[in-house]
Amino acid sequence: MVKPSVDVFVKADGESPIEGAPFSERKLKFKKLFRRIPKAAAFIIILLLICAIFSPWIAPHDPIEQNLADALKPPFWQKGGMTKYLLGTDNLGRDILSRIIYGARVSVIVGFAGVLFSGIFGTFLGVVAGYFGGKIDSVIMRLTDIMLSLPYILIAIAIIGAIGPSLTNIIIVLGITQWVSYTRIIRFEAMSLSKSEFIEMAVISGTRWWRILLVHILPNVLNSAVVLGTLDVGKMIIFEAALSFLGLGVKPPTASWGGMLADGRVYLTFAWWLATFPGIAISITVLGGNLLGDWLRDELDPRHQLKA
Amino acid sequence: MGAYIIRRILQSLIVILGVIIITFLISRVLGDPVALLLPPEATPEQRAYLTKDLGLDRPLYIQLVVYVSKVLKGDFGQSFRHQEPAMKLLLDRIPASLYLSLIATLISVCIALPLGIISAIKRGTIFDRIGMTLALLGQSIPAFWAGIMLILLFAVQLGWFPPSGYGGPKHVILPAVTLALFFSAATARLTRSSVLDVLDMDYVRYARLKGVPEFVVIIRHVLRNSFITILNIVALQLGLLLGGAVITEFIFSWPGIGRLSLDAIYNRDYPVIQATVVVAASFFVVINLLVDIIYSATDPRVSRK
Amino acid sequence: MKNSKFEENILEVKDLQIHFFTDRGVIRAVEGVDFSVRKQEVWGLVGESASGKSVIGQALIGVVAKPAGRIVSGEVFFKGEDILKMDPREVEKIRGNQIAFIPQDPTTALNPLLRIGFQIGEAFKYHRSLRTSSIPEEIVKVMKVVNIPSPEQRVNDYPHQLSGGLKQRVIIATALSCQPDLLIADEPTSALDVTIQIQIIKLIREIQDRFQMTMILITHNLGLVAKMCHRVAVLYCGRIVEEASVKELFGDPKHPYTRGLLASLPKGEKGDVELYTIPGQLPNPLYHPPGCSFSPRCPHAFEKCQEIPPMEWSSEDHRVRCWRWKEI
Repeated sequence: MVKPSVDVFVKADGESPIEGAPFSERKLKFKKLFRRIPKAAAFIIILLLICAIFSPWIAPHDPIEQNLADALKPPFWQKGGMTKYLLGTDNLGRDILSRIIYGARVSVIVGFAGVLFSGIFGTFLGVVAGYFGGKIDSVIMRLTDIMLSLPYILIAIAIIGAIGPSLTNIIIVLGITQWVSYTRIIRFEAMSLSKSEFIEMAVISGTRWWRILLVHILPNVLNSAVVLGTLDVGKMIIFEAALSFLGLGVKPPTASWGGMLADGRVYLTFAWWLATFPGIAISITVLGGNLLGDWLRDELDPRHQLKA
Repeated sequence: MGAYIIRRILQSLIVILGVIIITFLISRVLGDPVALLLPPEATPEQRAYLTKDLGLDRPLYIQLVVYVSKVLKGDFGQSFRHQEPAMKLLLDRIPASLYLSLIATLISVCIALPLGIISAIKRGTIFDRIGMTLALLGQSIPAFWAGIMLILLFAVQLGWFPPSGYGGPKHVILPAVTLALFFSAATARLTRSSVLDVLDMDYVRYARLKGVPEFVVIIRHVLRNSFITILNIVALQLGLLLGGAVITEFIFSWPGIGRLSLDAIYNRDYPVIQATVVVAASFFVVINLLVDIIYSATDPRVSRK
Repeated sequence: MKNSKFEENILEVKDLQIHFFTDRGVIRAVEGVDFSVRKQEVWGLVGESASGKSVIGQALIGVVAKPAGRIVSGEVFFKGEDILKMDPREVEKIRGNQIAFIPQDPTTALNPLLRIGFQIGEAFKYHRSLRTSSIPEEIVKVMKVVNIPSPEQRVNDYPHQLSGGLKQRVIIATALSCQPDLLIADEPTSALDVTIQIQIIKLIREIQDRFQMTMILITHNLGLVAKMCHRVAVLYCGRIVEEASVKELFGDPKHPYTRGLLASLPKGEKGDVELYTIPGQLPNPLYHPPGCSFSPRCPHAFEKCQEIPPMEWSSEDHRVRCWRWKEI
């Protein structure tokens, strides 16, 4: 390739070429796709899943076993710390590292189940609103407006406060409050799909509406739904952590990152490690989810063709 | 333009009405006010009396109508816990929450808008990549944990700021920064993508083709056209702040409506919960309405037919 | 050179290469294009969509689609100076001033939030040092040139209040405002209704006639070329495959692609029901065939077509890029 003599020009548009763009012209498209999966995000997610699934084999200690003699031991690199408890212990002598590893279970379950429920509900409403339009659409849209304006934290806390904290209840509350983000976008897509020719043909040839929805519209909006879902996993995890932090989450002594944060807050002044490590765990996990969701959205974006 | 505004106002009213109805239904479903107000030893007659007095023996829809008409006048009833009207309790705390929200918004806007705009203009450069990575990080860190870490660092270790409580700049800065963390991260990313959308528009390229200097193109064409979208984004976040600062107010013992409602939930104080939800939701709806009105006034495609 | 009217070259392009770097590969949109445009002539550039013609048009004044596009090499001599090597600020002074551009879609080319009078004035403001008070006059003047009715009122209108044809007139007015030496029109009528197209074409012809402006007309419409151009070049997959005066190109096309294009024009004769189409499809922009890009579809292709044929002069004013132009 001829060395460019015109960099000056390109800057006239305020642009500069993308570095690192592959100049290859090999036709190995699929392999390229695989290579493009963001490594960091994939690593984080896999790590999370491993912790969640294999916790009994990975965790050095039992997460609920109390050992008051060893309470509030700092991480091993500080004075007074022991390599037995790599990240220190909490006020009841439980190993922080093990609790974090087991805490991944709660996060994974809440993340996926929450996204599943809210996603299914939200996508369903979105498809119905987009396809049928008219009064049904207006009603659903008003409903989403109302849900959007309700301060969801308050609602969630109020509901859990009444029906009692438990993992199942959290997932239910998440499903009830978080479906709105799906509905708007799916509705938009369903609307444009409904105007397309092959839907018109299906209608003309007498296909029943539920078949059209199921077979024609749903698979095509699934792309967006999946992207939204991936982006939402992080939100769910933070939500659960927030509820657990307020004491409205998973019941102790089950290890949950949010609950650990609540404990940690009490001992903040002299045992910083109780609160710090679970928070790092949450942040990294959510970051992984967001990175993956962003990548997925860019991949599936039809405008992706010429964007470098 | 007039028709558009009227339609939006009507929509907003419907939403607020819907919110009021939902709060009514939820609190009815969740608990029996009579049981909450009376001590356990109360006799059946006392219960019956209170039920009648509170109007709870009438059919549900009549209760609903009564409730809605009262709420529209601002009457949420007496707080169960304190002997004052729920609305008054709320109004006492609103200034504190508003103060916190506005400072948080100010901080966010000062960080997020320049970050988002410059990242978009310098798309693909190091600045863009680092900026957006930081923004992504900011969105991934749970606000309440960030608050705790800030307290740890600045209040406990360094002692620069007080760890909690209400007051002037020294007190408000840590909670405001905590709230601003997520707010500015999300705003920066959304700003960047809306500016990018405008940058790709034909009229921007055409302005350059006319020979308009780049700087002017950015200000006159790009920023002017992204303005309303960015305003929308900021308003959306601000609207959510009033009701969404619950945990932050809790951590920093900030006497706002978030803390009030949290206590109310622990105490099953339904009038206060209802009042908070309705007011927070209305705040959100009104802000969005205002943004839409500004939009219809400034976009010539809507304001002139 | 045949016609002494067209003596000097106002524009000379040498080996222009423009690539787009996407993360799916490199799109070689323009692969070594050479041409010259003479003063006061109308030079046509014909090609299908994705032939690279629009890219060339904009690149002539240094605008490349961001962020993936890049002028990889080449020289564009305008009045003797290489634009591509000039300081960006110098180039800004030329754009809209000595070289004006008419884009394809007038609707998207106008900022919906600004009044059209102002947008026309933008072209003036940065190029001519007029007193601010005389700018509105000049704007109205140039609107009259393009026959916009009641320009004094129209000046304060917003784009959405104008019809497509009026918008394109506004664009043309903007282009003319600084009396450019060179006008580049990129598909000036494709986005308009057929009836309006005729009006706009008439307008452009009048203007070219009246101001004796040099013009580059970029289009896929051969009929337009026949009406308006003196010389024309045919572009395929980023390379010029043939260039000649309009008479010669239409009368004696030498390149198989050009012949295919001319053959696929409906002739409007009785019994002319079937339209000829060139067999095959445009190649994927990411993977141009090696050698002559047209070879997969060419009825005369043979092994040597795997090598890029050089440009050869078939007569004084006619050049072709094909190994077999002499035989076919």
